[in-house]
Amino acid sequence: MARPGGAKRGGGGPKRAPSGGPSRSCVEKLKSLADATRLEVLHLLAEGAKSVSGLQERLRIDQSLLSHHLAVLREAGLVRGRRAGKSVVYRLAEGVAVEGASTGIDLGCCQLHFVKPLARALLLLLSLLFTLPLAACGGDGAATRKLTLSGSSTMAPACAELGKAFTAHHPDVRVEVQAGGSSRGVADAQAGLVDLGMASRALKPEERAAGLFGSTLALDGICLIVHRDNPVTALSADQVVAIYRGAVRRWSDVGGIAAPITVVNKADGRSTLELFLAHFKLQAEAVRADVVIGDNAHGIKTVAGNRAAIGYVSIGSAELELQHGTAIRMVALDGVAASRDAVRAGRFPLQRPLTLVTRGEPAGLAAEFIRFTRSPEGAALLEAQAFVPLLHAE
Amino acid sequence: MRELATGRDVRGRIVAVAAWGGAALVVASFGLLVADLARRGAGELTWRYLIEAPRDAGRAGGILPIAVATVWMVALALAFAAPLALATALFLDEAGTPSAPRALRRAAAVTRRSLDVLGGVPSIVFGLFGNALFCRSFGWGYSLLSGAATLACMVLPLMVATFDEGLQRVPAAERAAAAATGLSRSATLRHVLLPRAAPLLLAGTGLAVARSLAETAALLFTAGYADGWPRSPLDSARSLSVHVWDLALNVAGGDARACAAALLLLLVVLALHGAVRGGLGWVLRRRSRGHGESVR
Amino acid sequence: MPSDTRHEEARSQELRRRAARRSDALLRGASVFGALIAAALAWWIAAWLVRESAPSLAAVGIGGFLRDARWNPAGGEFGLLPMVATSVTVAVGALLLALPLALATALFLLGYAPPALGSAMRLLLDLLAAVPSVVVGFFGLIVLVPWLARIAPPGASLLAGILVLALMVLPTLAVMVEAALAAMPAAERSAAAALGLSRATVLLALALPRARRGVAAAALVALGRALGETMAVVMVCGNVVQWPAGLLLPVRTLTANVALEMAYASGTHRGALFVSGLLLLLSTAVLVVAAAWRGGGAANPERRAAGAVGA
Repeated sequence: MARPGGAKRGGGGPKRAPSGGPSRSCVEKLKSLADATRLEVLHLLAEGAKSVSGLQERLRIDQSLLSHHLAVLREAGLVRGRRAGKSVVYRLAEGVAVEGASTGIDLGCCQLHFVKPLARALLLLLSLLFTLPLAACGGDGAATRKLTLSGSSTMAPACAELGKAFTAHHPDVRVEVQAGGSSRGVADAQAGLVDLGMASRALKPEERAAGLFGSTLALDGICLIVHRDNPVTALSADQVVAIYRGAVRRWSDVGGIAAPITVVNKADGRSTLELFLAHFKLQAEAVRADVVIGDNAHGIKTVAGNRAAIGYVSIGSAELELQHGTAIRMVALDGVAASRDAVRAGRFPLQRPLTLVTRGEPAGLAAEFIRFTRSPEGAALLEAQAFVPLLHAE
Repeated sequence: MRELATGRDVRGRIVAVAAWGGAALVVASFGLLVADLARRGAGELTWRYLIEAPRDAGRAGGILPIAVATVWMVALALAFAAPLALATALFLDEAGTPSAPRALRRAAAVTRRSLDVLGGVPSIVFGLFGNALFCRSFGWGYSLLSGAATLACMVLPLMVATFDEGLQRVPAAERAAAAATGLSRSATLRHVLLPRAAPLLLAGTGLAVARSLAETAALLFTAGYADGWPRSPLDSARSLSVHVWDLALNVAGGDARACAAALLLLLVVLALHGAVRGGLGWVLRRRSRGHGESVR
Repeated sequence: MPSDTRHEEARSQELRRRAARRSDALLRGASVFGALIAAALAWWIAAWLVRESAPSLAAVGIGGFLRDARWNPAGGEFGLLPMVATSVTVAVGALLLALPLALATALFLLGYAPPALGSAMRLLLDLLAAVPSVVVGFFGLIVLVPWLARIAPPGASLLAGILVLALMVLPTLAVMVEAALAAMPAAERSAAAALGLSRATVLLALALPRARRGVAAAALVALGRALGETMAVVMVCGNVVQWPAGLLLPVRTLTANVALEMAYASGTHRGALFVSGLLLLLSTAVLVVAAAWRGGGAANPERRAAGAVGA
């Protein structure tokens, strides 16, 4: 809990407001701390100087996102970075001091004290017991606005994270994300049931003709994956078609292990399936599949559990799973290695825009949200979910 | 004589081996399941996991808002289902007696059959039905309320069955005594039936809570997917089992967290069990103290 | 005055009686109302399913659902039979696997387990029964299916579904079978003890034949539960629409089909999915009624479990 003006240090500074209350720089410092991750960074640095990789390990967030947060803290004058060999070590800045066994931080203008976790848990529990019923009775419709999204399960986690960050900037807004598939997202947007539909593809001409408007959230690619133990690293479009048609049945025919191919396909209706079939000019009935899966992670787990399997997933999902050491490998398509960079440069042959769908041009809260997704913070969040934000695309 | 003895011995031994073997196999499968979950997810179950909000699509942070939403959903579901189940059980109690008129007995039988069928409905049908009825027709949208109402429908057969069994266990002698002293039906209920049926009422509630915690498909279609703090029953929020589903099947790299959440669910059910057992013991002790009978 | 107090007493008694009658009437009204809602729910769901499937039933015709060779909604083919066969095969297979194990467990609990081990075992069964299907399915997906894939690709298959479903229906089945076996009159039990019959004899020769009806009812209920399972089968069965001609073939059940396609379906396709939902409801209804008929009254699984709890 911060206690501004509780214990003022020294006399006064040139920046302190004449009235003797909190100075402007105090407000800036506290503003920069109004984020769960940044506050956490400060708490960790109170224990001692830490390298960026050390911080990343403790916080378990993406590097680029962490860099963004550290930059904000740096600009507010709260932390300082120093190059030490190959890595950068961060520590609290000069004006900031630690108190009492790293439970308190003196920012110069005010003091922060971190409550012990157990006490905090008890406090939370007690406050829950009392506030939730009150909130239910309060019916606080007047004070809060709701932004609803529904659609693609590929985009749902990313949009939920964007929604949380958006709420941090607009505390009176609640963002609710529902899954249900791209077609549900488009249908709901059309019917006015949600503010934004999420579709993991571009809008079709007939959808645009019906008055729907698509704003690109990010770029993603669809790549083929095989098991890590399978030596195949690249496939041509013809080979992929042959495998999925059932013309090629054994891995040895394409330079892989000696085993029959287990073809993993997506269930009907998914936009990933549609894009895959359209790109390779396959008919749905022509595909000879051994396993049919629903969502991305289901497909990834199936391939990771079967040395002879091949499937196709969102590049973002594949990269995230690889970061966690899952036993898959992304396969190069037509000579282009599958990676986010390839998508960023526009080189990867099978790409798709992740689209936010509105009825007509976006307005009001929806427009604000879309603007937020295109800001640096939004871009950092999207990168953390392994998509290519529009801001970073070429 | 000896052959007989040996014959019985061999059969006895075979049965013993089969019994112990079967039990061991069951324990082994369960052990394998829990061990695998623990291996992947136990490391994530820390204090901070319990008191933080989810970050990075659930891959970091904790599950507090989700736990709170689950508690609220289950509590609301019980609030809907328990009175309804008790009312139905009372009806079955009165209408099922041989002395009741034919029509009433038929009604009771039909009610019982309908509830049995309700208990057999696949959970995905409940999800679709709940979506159509509570989310759309009632206008509640994706919300805690819709989820709770759907859960209430799902646990109702279970609760009615146990409540009914509980009421049936009330000895006829006590009912006769109540009638003889001219106690009204409501007074009989309060002073005779409910205390006697309390153990099974408690058990039925416990079973309902366990069933609600395990439900996924139905809640995905009714309470929704949002993972934030629910500020009112009309907000969408996910339950713990939906969170497990999301991390296991949808979010990339969510395996460890999915296992952690699954372990937490199991621990909660374990605690629930203990609570019901403890509650049962308390009820039985209170009764024995009050009426001077031996504990059954 | 004595007559006054008598009047007072009579009056207050009359008031109390009237209040009692009012509360009784209220109670009666509430219980009838409650029972009405409870009973109506199943019918409401059935009616709603019928309404949603009616257009497709009219368009495709029952014959169409039965005779169409394939499930290809885009091409107007709505052959449900392969998936019906799969649902039945997976459920029956799971039952065939789970029933002997449930029997063995029940025998263990009734005849061979020391008290401490017995209560630990019961606790374990309750815990296993409370494991969400998504967790069992997840376990199947990351442990069972890869293991099967090493022996016989693709791994996701009918066999995987049977194994996973057996694990799910086992706990409740074991509890119900135990309750059925334990329902032996005390007189018979003491007679058997007096005769010095061995445990095995008592259980197999006396308890089991008597419990046949209860066990059959339990089996029918487990079958119903297995038919309605969704999440776990989606994860481990492979979801390829074909006849379950071999244990190692990837197959799709009716429930998995609804789960996979409902969000993306519209028009006749959506109606066809509701038809399969209706089919599931009808089959579980038949099973439940059959279980009631066989089990003689208390067919509800939880009622049986309740019996075990109280004991």
